[in-house]
Amino acid sequence: MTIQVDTREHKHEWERIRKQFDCAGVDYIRSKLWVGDYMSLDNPRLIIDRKKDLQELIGNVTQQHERFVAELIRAKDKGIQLIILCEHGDDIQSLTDVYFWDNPRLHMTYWHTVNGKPRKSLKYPKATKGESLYRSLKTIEQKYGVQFVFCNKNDTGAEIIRLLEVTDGE
Amino acid sequence: MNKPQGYDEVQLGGDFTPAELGGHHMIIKGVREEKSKSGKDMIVVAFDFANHDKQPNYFSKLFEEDIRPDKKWPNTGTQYILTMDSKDANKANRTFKSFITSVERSNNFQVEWGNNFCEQFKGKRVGGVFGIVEEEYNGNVKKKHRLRWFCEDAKVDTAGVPEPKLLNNGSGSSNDFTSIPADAGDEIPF
Repeated sequence: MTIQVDTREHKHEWERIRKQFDCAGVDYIRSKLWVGDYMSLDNPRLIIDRKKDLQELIGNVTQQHERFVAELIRAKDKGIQLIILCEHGDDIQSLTDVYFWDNPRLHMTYWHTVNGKPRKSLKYPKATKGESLYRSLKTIEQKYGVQFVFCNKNDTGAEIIRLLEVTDGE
Repeated sequence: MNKPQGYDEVQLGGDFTPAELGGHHMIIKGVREEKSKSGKDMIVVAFDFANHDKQPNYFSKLFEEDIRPDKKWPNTGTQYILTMDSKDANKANRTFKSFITSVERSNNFQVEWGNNFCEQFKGKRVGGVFGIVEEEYNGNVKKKHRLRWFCEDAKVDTAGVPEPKLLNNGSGSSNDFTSIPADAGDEIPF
């Protein structure tokens, strides 16, 4: 299997994943992809879009919502199965875990002065809760046929190979 | 007629499999601090049956099968535990202490009080004993399989089935957990 890696994949992240591909003895080429970041040349109908953590996904479904949805529609219109691989870490292994995720931003505080007295306040009181993010991702899953898969950063390369190989064998 | 959206995912009536009575190996999905309707401090514990339990991921499956947009974690996989004794405001609630102790013994760890209290329970093991509980719902009495008490994970396999807790004769232990909220009815899958 040869994996095509999008040229816009972040340099630092790609270096990490490239080492994992090298360890697994998998071939790869760098070339721009229509959508997503990783695709097997044997099956251009399945593409993996990597997200570094749930905060990046929150950015996609909130601030960059239009751009994100445009990419999902582009994939769907071309009959491409898009898998969003989120390498958040051990505590998030499924969409259900996202429901129980406690966004650390909800607890971030900062000091400021009110009437000359120091006061501690929440920095991001409206940060997205796990439950809200779960509902957004579930809607995306149903509406655009996207699959969400979760892994640890140490396993991203192996997980990309596994996901692309599974579909090759089907 | 076009096929309605979500048709394939809807569970057939009568397909519901209740939680088996007796002991279960469980995993804590989340704990949060809340106030009860009467303003008392309580914790809300969401749990699931562990991968090695006789009904692995039972509540996750119920949750995933629920296609309502405003769905919540199944009520039978949630416990509301008051932190203070309902009769003595200076004493911790026995059920609360039982929960903490069960988690501590099941995971060989010590609970840390203060900030981030709730976060430390996530993913921890605990045992649970399920029994029949009679509950009134919209004027009808229903027998439900509910968590009766938490226990040490190592004691799950030897746990028996508790006596049913019935509405009229008050049999069974008076343990227990605080009443389920009135708005939790729509989470009950019967």
